[in-house]
Amino acid sequence: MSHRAVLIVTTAFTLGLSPVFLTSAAGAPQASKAQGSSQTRDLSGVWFTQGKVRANFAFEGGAPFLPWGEERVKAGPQKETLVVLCIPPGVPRVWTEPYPFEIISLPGRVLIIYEYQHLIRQIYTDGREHPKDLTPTYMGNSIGKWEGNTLVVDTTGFNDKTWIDGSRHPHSDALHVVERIQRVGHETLQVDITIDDPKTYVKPWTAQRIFDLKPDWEISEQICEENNTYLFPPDNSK
Amino acid sequence: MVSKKRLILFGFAMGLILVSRPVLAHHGSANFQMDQVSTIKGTVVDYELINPHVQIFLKVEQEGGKAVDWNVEGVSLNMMVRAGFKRDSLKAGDSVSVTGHPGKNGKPVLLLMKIMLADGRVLSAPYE
Repeated sequence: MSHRAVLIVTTAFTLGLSPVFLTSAAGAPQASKAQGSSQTRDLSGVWFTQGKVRANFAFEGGAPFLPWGEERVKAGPQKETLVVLCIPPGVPRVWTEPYPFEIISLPGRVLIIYEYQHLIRQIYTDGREHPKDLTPTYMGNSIGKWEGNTLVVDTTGFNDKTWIDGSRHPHSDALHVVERIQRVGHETLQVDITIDDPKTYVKPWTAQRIFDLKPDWEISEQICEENNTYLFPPDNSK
Repeated sequence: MVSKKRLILFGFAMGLILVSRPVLAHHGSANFQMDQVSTIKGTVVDYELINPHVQIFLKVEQEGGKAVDWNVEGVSLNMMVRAGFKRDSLKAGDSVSVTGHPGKNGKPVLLLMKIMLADGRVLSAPYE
């Protein structure tokens, strides 16, 4: 097992066992005024998507490309597909993967453990800003704040190697994603995703994903590399 | 002139390609006729509970006695296990019936929708 995998598994295991972390999530301070139908800041649980996996986030009428975006589309998918090489899917495409994820609240941070590739997203809620001169990464840098009971996650610092969604809409390193995550019912999580990439698209837009609570599920091992090479030659149609 | 060493390397590479079994396998739903449904009955040759996609290899008898090798593809190990598939759900020699979406290319491949196991139980894919 690689060092990264060992680190992720042990981290997730430790967090899962810790009653301190679990109770701190359940006992998170409630906002004085609930926003919308959201009644709690407790987002904890294992969640799985409703509806189509690998969703298309483009809005009706198609994606409004700027010239840079059109060129990327004409160029076709990258020579080496991300899926085959087990490269992280990026944000917001990570919300379209056909695997569950778990949200864990910590003081000053919210963690999202995605079963897909065992990616861990750290969303800092301690008031910090994005670091200056971010080195571009696949999953970006995330900071969060509460608006009522909605966690508003601001993510930037992406490279341009991933796609926005399951339909492989491209993005540039200017991508800026804002996710509004709220528990609209005990068993329902709503994520509204605003996608802003002024280099690729003429204007920002917002897509939505709804997830169901899976109280009996646990995040389990997922080794992307196990047999992924059987997917060569890459299927470029997805 | 091609050196013997290069030829050997080339041969080794070709051999590797030829022995990679999942040549017929495909990824996701893009290569299957999602509006078509077929059912096949056959004997399990192998069952691999692996990522990224569970694989079931079947031998299907054709009229006239000729057997054809079929590759049935499921989704991820993680999600198939949640749908009730276990490591001993299938074993070589089991007679099973599989319903799924046929491949677009006319090859003997199927994207699993449901399978009737040797003991009569039916397991379904968690999503398509």
